[in-house]
Amino acid sequence: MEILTRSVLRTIRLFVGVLLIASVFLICANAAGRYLFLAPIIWAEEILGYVLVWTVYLGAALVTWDGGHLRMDLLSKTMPGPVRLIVNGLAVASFLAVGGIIIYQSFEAIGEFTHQSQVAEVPMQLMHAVIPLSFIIILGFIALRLRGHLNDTLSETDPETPRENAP
Amino acid sequence: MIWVMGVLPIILLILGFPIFVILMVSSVIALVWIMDLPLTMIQTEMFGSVDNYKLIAVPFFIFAGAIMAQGGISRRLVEWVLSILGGIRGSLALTTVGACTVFGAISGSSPATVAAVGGMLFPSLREKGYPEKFASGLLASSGAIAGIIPPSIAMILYGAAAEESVRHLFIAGILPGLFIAFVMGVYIYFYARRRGIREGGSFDAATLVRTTKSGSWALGTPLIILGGIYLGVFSPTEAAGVACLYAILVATLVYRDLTLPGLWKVTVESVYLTAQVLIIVGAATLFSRLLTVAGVPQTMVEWITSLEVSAWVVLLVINLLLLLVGCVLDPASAILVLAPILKPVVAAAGIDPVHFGIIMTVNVSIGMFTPPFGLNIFVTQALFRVPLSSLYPGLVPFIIINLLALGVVTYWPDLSLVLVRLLG
Repeated sequence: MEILTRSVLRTIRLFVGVLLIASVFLICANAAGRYLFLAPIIWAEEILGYVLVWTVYLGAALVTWDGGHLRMDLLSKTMPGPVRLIVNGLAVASFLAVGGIIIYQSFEAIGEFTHQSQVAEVPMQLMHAVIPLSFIIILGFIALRLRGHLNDTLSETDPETPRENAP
Repeated sequence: MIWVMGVLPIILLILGFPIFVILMVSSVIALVWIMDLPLTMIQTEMFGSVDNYKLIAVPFFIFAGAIMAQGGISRRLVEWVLSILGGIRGSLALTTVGACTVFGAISGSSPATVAAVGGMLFPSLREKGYPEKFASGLLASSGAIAGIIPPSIAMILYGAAAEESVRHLFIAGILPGLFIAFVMGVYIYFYARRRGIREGGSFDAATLVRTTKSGSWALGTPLIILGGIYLGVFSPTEAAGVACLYAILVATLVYRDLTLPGLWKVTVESVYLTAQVLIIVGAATLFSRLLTVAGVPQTMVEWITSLEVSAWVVLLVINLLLLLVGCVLDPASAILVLAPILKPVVAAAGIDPVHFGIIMTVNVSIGMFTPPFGLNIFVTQALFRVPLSSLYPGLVPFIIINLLALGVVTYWPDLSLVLVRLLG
């Protein structure tokens, strides 16, 4: 299981990293095409929007892996151990419930997106699939590291994942 | 409804639930049990809100800022600012403000600025006789200027949430950002004079020429970003993308301070930060959409109109609310949740939405270093090992200065709007 998890994490990091670098080149190529060759890449803006969606939701799985979601935790950190455990348990239960509902309704909604995008003509079902896919991974990560989520010790146990402060 | 969308989120926030989960829990409960709306609205809002061309600038500016910090570009910018201000009393502290302003014109991220500039200047500030509480308070508050000086991630989020032009917001943010930096500079000068602090350096033209030469590539970054946007060559999103490519080329090929493995590490870190912030966009958009469907903004507009108070009272109340929220909530969440609700209220009071965007940005930036929960406080504490007992008192003068500046930004709309009229 650990090998599988590491492979999933590595694949996500590779995928989202490549997406970010590719989107930098795409937006520059679009600007250059417009000014230098009078030929902008007409599908660039549409694709960049989808790339951002994929980057954000798959990136959220990395954030979940080490419990890095933004929260106001100064008060909760002062709670006595058992209370904190209960509160963290409630937070994890809420996360699982919300994730489950998101996955359930996503499958229902995606069934209706049978069309293609307007300019790039990519199947919208494929683009929308990132949300259920990400939340399946997210729920899997929460289940795998349940004890860490409950004790707030995730960042101490996985130094490999970057953990920075948000802007 | 008020319990689910008002009281419950506050309780969960205090308990320390992730903000994304709080917004989703409240929205899902409202959708399932209170409102007669399809559940599939979750998918549409979560996808549609992030699939936004304006928001693409967020990862790009985070990425560009991270490359600058790791690739030796920020170090050269600090050396350049120091060479200009070297002869003035309080030059090191003034350099801190100046460097945060210049770095803010590249990255738009407040904590990243504290880390990048503070890492270089905090030890020197202490060495030259600045007390710990002043130096730490200065760094935490100066870093917040980066959130106001364009390009600003807070402004991009406001532009997306309130459907306003990001370019206009960037133009409107220039003078307020410089004004706050100037006011802080004046305070620092008189503080250094009263304390008898002398750094001992003097202005040296040869040093300025040397640092300008060494930092010329670094100085090109703000020129590309701001020049490109203000001259209408690029959209803010394109400028951010071009800044990333420029920073990669300068850091890896010109300065050679960033290796390819280092670049990869910065890339993954940037995605991580982007996901941390933008996952909230999906949840906050759903949350504010439900509030709109429930008629909350409209009710607020009617209530405020019925009070028959003038615009300045509305702004005073909103400022107090935003300062309070900014103390406990991160800027992204505060803007994404409140901007769609407050925009109709300020519009009804006759306040320009671009001007309001700047007011909101300044408010949440002050929240970044306001006790007890300002993010810059914890970055400063963690990086420089300053105890909160020293850091909190050190922040007080800077909070007062920034509040006075906020008053000027709020009640002098032309400070924000004059450039929009000229360049917009």
